[in-house]
Amino acid sequence: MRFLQALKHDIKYQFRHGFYYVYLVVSIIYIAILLRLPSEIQDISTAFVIFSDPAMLGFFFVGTIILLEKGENIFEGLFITPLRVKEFILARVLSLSIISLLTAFLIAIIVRGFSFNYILLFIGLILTAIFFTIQGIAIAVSVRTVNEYLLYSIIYSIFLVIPFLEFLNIFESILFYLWPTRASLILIMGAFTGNIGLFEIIFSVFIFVIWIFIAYKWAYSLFINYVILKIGDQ
Amino acid sequence: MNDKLKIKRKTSNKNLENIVDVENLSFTYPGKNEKILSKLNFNIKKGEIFGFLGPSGAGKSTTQKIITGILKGFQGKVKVMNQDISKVDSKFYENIGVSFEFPNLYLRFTARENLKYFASLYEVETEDALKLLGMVGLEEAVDIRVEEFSKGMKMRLNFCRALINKPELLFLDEPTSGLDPANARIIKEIIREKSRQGKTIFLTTHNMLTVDNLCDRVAFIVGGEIVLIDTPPNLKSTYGSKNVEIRYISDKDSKRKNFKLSGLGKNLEFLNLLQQYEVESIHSQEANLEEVFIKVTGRKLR
Repeated sequence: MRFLQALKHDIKYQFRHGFYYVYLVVSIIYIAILLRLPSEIQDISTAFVIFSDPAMLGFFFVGTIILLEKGENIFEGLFITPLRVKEFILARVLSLSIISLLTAFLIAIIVRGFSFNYILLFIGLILTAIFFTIQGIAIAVSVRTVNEYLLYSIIYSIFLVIPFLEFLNIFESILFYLWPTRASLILIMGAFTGNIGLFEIIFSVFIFVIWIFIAYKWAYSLFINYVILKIGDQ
Repeated sequence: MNDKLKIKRKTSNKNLENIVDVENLSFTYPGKNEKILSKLNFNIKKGEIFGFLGPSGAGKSTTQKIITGILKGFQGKVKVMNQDISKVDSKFYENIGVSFEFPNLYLRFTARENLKYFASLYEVETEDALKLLGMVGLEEAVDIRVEEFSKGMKMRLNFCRALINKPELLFLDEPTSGLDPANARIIKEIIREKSRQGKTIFLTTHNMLTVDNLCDRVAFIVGGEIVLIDTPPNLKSTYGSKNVEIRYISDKDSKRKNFKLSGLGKNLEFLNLLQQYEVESIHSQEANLEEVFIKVTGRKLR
């Protein structure tokens, strides 16, 4: 099956480029810091670290990978095979979600033992990883350089962190409930603090599914315009 | 001998099916006024090596993008392997192979890993990676990462990538660029062999020697229009003239003069020159396709 081959290849590619090793080191550093914190803030800190890094790493990894692939002219060769864009995107998203899950659970289990809701963490993580990786694909296919990618990433991050104004008690709005980052933070925090109701879980998942759908459509159309239609243009 | 074989094959091609059939193909990029392609008409028969020649921006890659099913929204009819190209899905790619001008390879993977991955994306039977690598002289480099390859090695591996799914229709863009003469000869021989096996080849290049050596027919495309389509020998005899260049010593200087080959035995100036001067060399010169192209289109290829 083409999708499984693409997935296998993606994981191999990420290993070859050292992404797994980099993240092992990063995770160890996080673990060392989190273990030194007083236990009363360990829950929230662990949730925040997992939200801000392993959950979002897909965004930066996928950008790096796609820019590397562009340098190798890989897409021209890849998309004149029967491989479809949706299979490619799915494989890429899943392969990076695997790193997210591995590192997040490694951090969570070592720091917190098994005293967290792993189903909730799994749901929060996978939805966050899928969403951010798709966003990363959309931006990476439409830029030419790493600098351009970083610039767009900053603009995009500013938009995403707006709901944090509420967490910092600066500004509140009912609109924040629609933000994907808020849904993500609520699910991941809830996994550690237990401070989350069923309605909030269902609402957050619902919000995420809508965002993922929109992001996918956007990424797909950018992929067609910036990658597929440019095949053979050099 | 070679020519005889070629002629024999061409005659038998006449009854063969069209693999590519293009009728009144026009294309304008969305939002632009200028037509990129204007009423192209051509067909390519099974087993044929069809050369597509033109300067940059003439419409070569747009045509290839349409025939490979990438670019839609064109006017006219395009049938490839008996399928309407505007309606094909991913299955279409099971039977075509494309080698672009620049290699498309995973640099951190070995030659074998690259070919195996590309092979795994097809449902049709694929070639043995080692056999292909052996054919292009890369048997020693099978397990070496592509980042350590020279440009020529990458080009040869990229050529293998295009052949991995045993394609019925093969698109080759500058297949010998970056190769030394020995390797270029090997690649050309493989292309001829594929054609003998009944595979169809669509070749775009600037290299007239490659065209002359390989192509059964050539189309000249300029400004989005096909100016003519013919066989290389016909083109040369219709548009070119065969010349003889003579070098001789006159007043202790080496001089050159050109004469038309036809009627040379009765050309008094030529005969006098032979008798009066010390001749250094005489070479016959065939008209080359480059000159033919300039003559027909008024444009240079590059």
